[in-house]
Amino acid sequence: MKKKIFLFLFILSFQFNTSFGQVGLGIFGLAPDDAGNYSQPMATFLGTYFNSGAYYSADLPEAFQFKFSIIGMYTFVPDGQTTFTPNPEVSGYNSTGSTATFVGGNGSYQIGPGGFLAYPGGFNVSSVPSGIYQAAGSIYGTELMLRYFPTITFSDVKSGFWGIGLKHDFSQLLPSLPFNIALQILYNSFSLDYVGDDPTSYINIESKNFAVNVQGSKTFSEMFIIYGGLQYENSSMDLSYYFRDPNELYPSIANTVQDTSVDGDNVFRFTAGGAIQLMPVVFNLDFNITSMFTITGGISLQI
Amino acid sequence: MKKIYNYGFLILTTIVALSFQSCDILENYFLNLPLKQSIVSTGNGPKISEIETFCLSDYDAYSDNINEIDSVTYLAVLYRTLTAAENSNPPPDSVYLTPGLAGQNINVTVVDGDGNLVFSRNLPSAVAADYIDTPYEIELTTSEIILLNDYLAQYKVDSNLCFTATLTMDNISAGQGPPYTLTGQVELLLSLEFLAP
Repeated sequence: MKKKIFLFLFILSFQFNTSFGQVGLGIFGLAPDDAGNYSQPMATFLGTYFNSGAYYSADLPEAFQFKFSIIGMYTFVPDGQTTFTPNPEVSGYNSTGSTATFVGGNGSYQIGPGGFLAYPGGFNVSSVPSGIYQAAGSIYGTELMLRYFPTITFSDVKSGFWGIGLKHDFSQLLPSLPFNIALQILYNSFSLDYVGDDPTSYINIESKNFAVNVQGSKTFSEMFIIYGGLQYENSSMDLSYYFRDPNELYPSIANTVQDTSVDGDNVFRFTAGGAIQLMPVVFNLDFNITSMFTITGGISLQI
Repeated sequence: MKKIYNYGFLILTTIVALSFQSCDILENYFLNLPLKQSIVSTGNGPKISEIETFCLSDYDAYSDNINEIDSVTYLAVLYRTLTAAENSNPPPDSVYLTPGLAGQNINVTVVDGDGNLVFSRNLPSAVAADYIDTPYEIELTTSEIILLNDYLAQYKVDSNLCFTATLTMDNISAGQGPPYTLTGQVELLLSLEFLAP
């Protein structure tokens, strides 16, 4: 069983390593301000991803309960995330027009006193499948949720993540409510680091994601659950990378490590979904209206 | 019951693995790569000319990732005049544009590594300083673009694609010289298409 779990976790991590490592190729050629704008959809996606799938019921029993969940997600990237307005901050070049973010299409170019200023293209991403797993234990109506994957190295890229959630069922305080209600706080952290030998390929991504939600649910016939919630969330990403300056327009910072920070476009989320309890297994599916619309589906072992 | 869980886990793992591998969430990726080559044409006139060679392999974005490149195509080309350029025969380290330099023609010619002419153009103005703040974008004809892209497509056979650029000023008529120095730069913008990971 341990081998099966590790195999599944390895598959999840492999996909992230491969995908995010390629983003560096475009970022290396961008000055810090443009690099932040180019990679903002990544910050938004990480926030959307880590702040999803955290619950399927607001009901927490008084007795001890343990849950292990494997959650699949499908996130849709809106057109508004595919371009940004360049901000070269170089005399003679315009901050107008648009060019691709890393989820967009072709990059644009400008001609100015320093010659070409060429922007990288994106990967034409319209949707992203992903997955995550989590374990939770609860007692006396309070739940602690944990997510963790140890930092592993794959193809010169090292990454890992961890997350924690705390939830309390307030239903007892509001006995007149015909449904269960709970408050949940989430924090997730993801890191990706280049650990190869080529200093010009250095990139480091640190993503921090926070959310707080009020959730409600109602169970029918001890089997069918309808649930929903309103969530405030934010995500931030610190980016550190080797700036190659291929356009030769930034001599003072060319061929040095540059840092930038970017906030994701996540603010509020509305979740609605349903679950079926075939104890001890629970299947759930929900829809998340947020900056990147996301469908999540999960299988949980609840004992 | 244990068998159900085992089979369920196997099915779930398979579905996730297959969906991740069969869903290409990342499509091919395009990187715009500017090849920038400075040229210092110097001499006592009335004609000054210089040749420089530059290669795709000089650029890390190309040479480090050549196995992942699916295509190399032409986007644009320009000429601009530099106020100063690196001296290839030191000392001194830099050479400077002759003030007021002008002549009958400023010609930019690029030839590919197979010796085929990519383009040859006389610029609209023969005053060198006209192209310091305002680079001149050279418009290639359709046939020139086709021939150039055909040459670029050879990267799969010969990864070291090169070009030779010649910068010439004819019949110098103005400038604080001799000697006269024209410091210019030819920039070739290419689009590299990378295979999706």
